[in-house]
Amino acid sequence: MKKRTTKLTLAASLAAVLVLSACGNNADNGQNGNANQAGNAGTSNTNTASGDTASGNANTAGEDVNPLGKYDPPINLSTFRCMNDSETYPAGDSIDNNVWYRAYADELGIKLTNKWSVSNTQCEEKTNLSIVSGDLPDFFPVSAKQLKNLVDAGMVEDMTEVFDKYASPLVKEAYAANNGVAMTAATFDGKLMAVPGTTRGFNSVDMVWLREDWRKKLNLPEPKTMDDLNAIIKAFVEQDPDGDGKKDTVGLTMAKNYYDGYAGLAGFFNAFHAYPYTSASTSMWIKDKDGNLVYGGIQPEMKPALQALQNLYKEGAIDPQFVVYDGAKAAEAENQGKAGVHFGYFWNIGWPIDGLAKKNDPSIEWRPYPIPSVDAQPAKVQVPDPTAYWNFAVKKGVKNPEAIVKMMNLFFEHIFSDNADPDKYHSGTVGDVSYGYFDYAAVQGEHPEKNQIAFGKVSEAMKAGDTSTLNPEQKKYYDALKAYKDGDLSQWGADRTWGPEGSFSVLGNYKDNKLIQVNEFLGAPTATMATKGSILMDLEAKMITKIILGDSVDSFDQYVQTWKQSGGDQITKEVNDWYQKNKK
Amino acid sequence: MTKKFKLSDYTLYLMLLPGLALIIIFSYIPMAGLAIGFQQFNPTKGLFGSDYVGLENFKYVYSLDDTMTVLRNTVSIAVMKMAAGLVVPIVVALLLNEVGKVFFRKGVQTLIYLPHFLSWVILSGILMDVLSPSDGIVNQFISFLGFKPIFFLGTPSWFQPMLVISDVWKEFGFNTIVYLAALTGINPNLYEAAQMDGAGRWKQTWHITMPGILPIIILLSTLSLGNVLNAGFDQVFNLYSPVVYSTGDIIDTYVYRLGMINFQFGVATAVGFFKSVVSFILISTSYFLAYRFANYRIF
Repeated sequence: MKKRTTKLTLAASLAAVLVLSACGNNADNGQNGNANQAGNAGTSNTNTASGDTASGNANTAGEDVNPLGKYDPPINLSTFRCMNDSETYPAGDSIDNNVWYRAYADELGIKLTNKWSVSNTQCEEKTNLSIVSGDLPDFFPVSAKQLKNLVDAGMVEDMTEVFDKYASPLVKEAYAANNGVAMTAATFDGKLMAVPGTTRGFNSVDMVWLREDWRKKLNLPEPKTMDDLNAIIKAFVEQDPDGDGKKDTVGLTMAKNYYDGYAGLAGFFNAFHAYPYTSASTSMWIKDKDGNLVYGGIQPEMKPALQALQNLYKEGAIDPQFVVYDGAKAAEAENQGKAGVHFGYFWNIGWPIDGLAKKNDPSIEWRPYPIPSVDAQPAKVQVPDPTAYWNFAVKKGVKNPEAIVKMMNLFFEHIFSDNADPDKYHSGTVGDVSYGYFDYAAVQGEHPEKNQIAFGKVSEAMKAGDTSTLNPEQKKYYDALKAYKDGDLSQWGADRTWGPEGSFSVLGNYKDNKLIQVNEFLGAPTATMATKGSILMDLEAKMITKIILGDSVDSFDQYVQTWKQSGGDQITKEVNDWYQKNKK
Repeated sequence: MTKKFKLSDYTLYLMLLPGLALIIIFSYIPMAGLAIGFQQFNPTKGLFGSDYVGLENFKYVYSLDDTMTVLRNTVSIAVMKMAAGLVVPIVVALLLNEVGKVFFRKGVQTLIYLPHFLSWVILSGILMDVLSPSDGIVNQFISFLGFKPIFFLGTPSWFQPMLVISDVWKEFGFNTIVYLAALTGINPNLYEAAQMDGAGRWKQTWHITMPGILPIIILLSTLSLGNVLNAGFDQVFNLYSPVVYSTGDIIDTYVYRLGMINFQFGVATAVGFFKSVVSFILISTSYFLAYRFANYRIF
């Protein structure tokens, strides 16, 4: 279990690096995104900030409504931290003393101390313990589930007014994106009960990663339809794509947990217009023709998808050992050059595919493709959880609840604004070690559409050869792309992410063509979902495994019956009650 | 046999205190937590604030379809592990004891107890590779003999035997040491006397060695009975998958999936409580039996 989690954590942290390194300039979020507009927005921002800082110093801390005002005298705040095991710090720094904590003290007058910090793997347990023992710091990160518990027990501060008053324009703009969906899960009865943190949203949708060099070698067409993709998967097993004369390759890489992003199956089901559970939550709800919410995984669209998987398995295109492999174990085949197709996320070029691999073996070529469709109707990818999956709860009775909002402001200011200093606050490489400084920040936020904006700007600049519209960070990506074009193969990973054939182009394709199926249920887990959710996911996993291995596809109908009786009907009712109440 | 309490032994009683304190703090006080099994436990309300729901959690567990399967798997895996885990170390210890060369004996001893120090997380990765149907060394051997490869970890009927074999392999070396230690405690004069009477190796083993280590065998088997419902969470969790749930899912893994992932502390505690009660009955019975038939007492 530990190995698995560490690897997943590693993967997640890589993902986070990519996501956040993808975060571009927010100020030029306009349609035309020209330099002027960006400049204006940036300047006005700076003006407010500096102007208010001056007045903030004059005022007492309590009356200071400046988003970045400094507390004088400084205040003390406590929190706790959950960090990746693989986190590294520059010499002399630690999670208790780093570039962000110093910024809190110097710029905001907030002296932040960590009550404790643990590895991400123990975070949930340790947080629960703190909640149970009532030993809470001033603010702390919580999951949607924990937040619900805290709200029910009346242990957290209502942040509605504070957020409204203190959030900087930049932060407000980021949280207003997507109809303000980021706030939904932190909102209870119309009250904002926590500061929403990072959102996963659009960054965790599936795409198909292919060994492009194998495809070309075998003269196969690009996967425009599911038939194309099936043909590619089969050919990768039967036609010896690695050319060693042995039948030792795997077609489709799969792992036993269908809900994990890497080597999961969400994308495969999406190709058939089916939307089962995902790794993010025990829910995935779509609208039926009457406008009611129904669970995606019990819809008839699942059956042809299951049949297709069974066929692939029968034809030997899936390694039977997938049933015992977790994601990390399944990834080995790919790392050894023995597998060529998987469904996964945009960051898979960082893990399990090695973004530097091309330098050692220029013949390797991976390329991400959008999920093809099984019929004439284009496939939509499912977005399980566009809301914040991590919130910052503020303990009830804290004297300066606005301080947390200010820390969020500071995060946006240093990372996303026009005055951002990514080399200092976001990430950097010293010698052979790269550091993700952003991860040291105790309060982190994100603009849900950052990556897309930056991708658009970088591609435009590449076409025009004009870098004047890019902010310092976008310029970094531009330079990497340019270097790759000029033959620096160590920038392959950047090209596969930001390049015209990169993963963000795939996400852009989904977005431009509106090929996104959002989970319609955005509330906190309902009562029955909380008690029975994992049993139902268990049932579904068993059903899918058995059908792939050869059970009749009709056993799906049995599953649907059991699902309904084992709490599914009750959950459906609760979800629809929520929907009626919160429909926009 | 029984001694009277004597005040002059007070130093001995004082030495008991730290141990008693540990047991009280870590074994008795936490028992209050069993109340969670009867609650709709909410971490924010805590042990004293949560609502009591009576036997609701127990009923819920009982109502689940898979409960009987899981219980059956737990018992059968645990019993098989106990039996194999008892016999193999004794046999190995007896055999090793016959080896004259000290260097060889120590070497073997060291080699076989090494796996004990590896965690299941690591071992599961090794086992998956070794048992892999496509390129694992075991299946390569099976193919070499002309048989079809066997998917040991992905076939329900093979999963339990694999659990037992791998568990015994991991632990037998360690238990062997205990028996070897017991063997050194047997008076060598007995063997000499037996030799004088014309007893061969086999007779010596049967009439001197076995009775000599019998108390230890009974002690270890009595203790292991208390563990009957612990079929080994770490091992199963790292090796199993939905395809072998039918034979591999045990109470602990089931509760983990049900309870821990979704904060169902009440349900999890209820199952843990149930397990403890059954284990308590079993260990009391075995202790009674050991006393009746082998005249063996721990206390």
